[in-house]
Amino acid sequence: MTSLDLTSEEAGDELVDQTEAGSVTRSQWRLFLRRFLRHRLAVLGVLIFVALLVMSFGARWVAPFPKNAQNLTDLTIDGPGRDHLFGQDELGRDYFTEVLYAGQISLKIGIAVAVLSTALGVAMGAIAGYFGKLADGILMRVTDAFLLVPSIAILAVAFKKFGNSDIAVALVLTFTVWMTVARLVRGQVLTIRELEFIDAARIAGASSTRIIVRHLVPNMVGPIAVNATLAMVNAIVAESTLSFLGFGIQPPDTSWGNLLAQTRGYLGTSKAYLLYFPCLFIILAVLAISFIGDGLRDAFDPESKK
Amino acid sequence: MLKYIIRRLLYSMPALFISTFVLFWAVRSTFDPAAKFIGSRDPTTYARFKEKWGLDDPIPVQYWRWLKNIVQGDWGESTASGESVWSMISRAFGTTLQLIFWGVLFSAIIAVLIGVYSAIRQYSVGDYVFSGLSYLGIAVPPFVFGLLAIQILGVLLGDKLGLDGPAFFFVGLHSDESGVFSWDYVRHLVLPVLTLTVQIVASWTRFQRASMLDVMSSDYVRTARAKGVPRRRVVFRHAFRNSLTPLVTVMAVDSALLFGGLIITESLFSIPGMGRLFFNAIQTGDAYVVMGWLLVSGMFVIAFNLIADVLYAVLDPRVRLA
Repeated sequence: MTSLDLTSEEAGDELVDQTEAGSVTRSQWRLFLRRFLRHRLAVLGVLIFVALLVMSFGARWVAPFPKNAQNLTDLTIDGPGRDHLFGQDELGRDYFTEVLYAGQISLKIGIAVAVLSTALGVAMGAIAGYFGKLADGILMRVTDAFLLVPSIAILAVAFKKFGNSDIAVALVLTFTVWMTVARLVRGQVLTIRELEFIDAARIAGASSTRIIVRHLVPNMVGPIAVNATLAMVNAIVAESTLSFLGFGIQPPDTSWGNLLAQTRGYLGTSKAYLLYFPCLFIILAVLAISFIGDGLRDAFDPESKK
Repeated sequence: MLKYIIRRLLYSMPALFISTFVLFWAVRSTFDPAAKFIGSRDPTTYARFKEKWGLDDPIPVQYWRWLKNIVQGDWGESTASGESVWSMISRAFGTTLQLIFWGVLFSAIIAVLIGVYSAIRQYSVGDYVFSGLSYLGIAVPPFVFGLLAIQILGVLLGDKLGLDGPAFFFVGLHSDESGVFSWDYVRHLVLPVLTLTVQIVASWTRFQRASMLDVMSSDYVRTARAKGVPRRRVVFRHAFRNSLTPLVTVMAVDSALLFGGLIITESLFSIPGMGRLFFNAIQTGDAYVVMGWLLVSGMFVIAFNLIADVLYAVLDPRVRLA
């Protein structure tokens, strides 16, 4: 039963722990928050992630120079310094500024893919699991077919067809990752829908839509949220890898991946240190989100007593 | 057993058929291999090229032609270079095989050593350090690791040691005619194999640790200890051997994916293997090369998945194949 009394409808936000005869009144949300805050790495992850978001999307105010501004008076600056925190590239652009602006696209794609693939996956998985038979069969065959063809082949063909704008990249990546969520949700629905409170809801006259939206989905919030963080990590890694290989985001747009593609030419030169910074930001973003995911998993899992 | 193997192979045929058809359709409908002749001085060149490759036929007809040829052992030719696909693939395959061999060998050894150590010294400092490292190994994208390895272990280490060039090379597998048993070859191999090893070793280590912990808490291990068998002997004779079974199957399944080539590692280190062959072919829409690649990598995935299941049954008598 454990995970089921997390967010069932009548409980709402303020769940009264009736087994202890009303002695303790704690909302599930507060319990969740307490467990999450006790996970130190997860809290660190949140701090890093928020810092990255603020620095990237607030780049206009945070960055010391305007985007693409060239320091043409002194191209000899080499290595990080007080004026140029990360040094400057061969065109005299402040690299700190560049990395911050590049983060906008990388993070935007990560978040967009997490949200879109979760929404699509939950919808498809819930429908397949709940209505069964035909819808289920179609969904499973479609996902099987997608597992056969290597995803990089799908991506290469799709980018050729739909272009390389950040929206296209996000949509194409969503298209390649939504199946994992769909399969997860389908499995969850198959177990939950057999439980008594679903029967009770149906007897009380609830419609299928209401049962899915109010009873099934809230009981799967934990795994879905954890999976969303995974999807975000995968999307950020996939975007940067593709852009690095020359498939994804194209210049003049910048992302951490295609900044790295440019630094490849610096290997073995005195400007090679530039490659550390996009690397650092990618690793920070991936680690931060994974930590958050771990924290969510522990916090949603009522078994963990820590 | 034989019946099981044959049935599994037959089941996988439709999957191979559908995936080749889908990919062929996708590539053919997206790319025009004759596009390079548009606007050439002789206006008939474009039409002649299309005629020669039969590009005007409907896609299913072209696919059927490819299928008929392939069952007769004719892999076709590259529309980009005219070279035979079979010779392109066998050359690339040999190169990729060298990376896979060393990568899998090192990964397996390291994963087993660390996994077993972490399990028998659970919650020790070493266990935490290795767990942290494998977390990092999974989190850092392979191309990021590869770039950092080139810069730090290649270029900077070369400077530090006062060498003329980098300590380890990062372009190709050979810079002269010397064969496989040369220092030159090793210096080329270190960085790509390291990049590959880091990609796989992290997850294998965690897997081996979990599997060893699982076995260590099983009844027969406790019985052996209770009977007075020394801990060392229980760990290595009773637990260790049984803990390897799951890892062997995971290794078979994971290695299968490597035969399709290490697209990222190979393109980072400019190694002309399967990954790069595929990468270049898919970018130019060289459909027959893509088809040949998919066939080879698909067959390896199918074969190794089957091997994994059979091995599992062979190693663990409790498992029955049905």
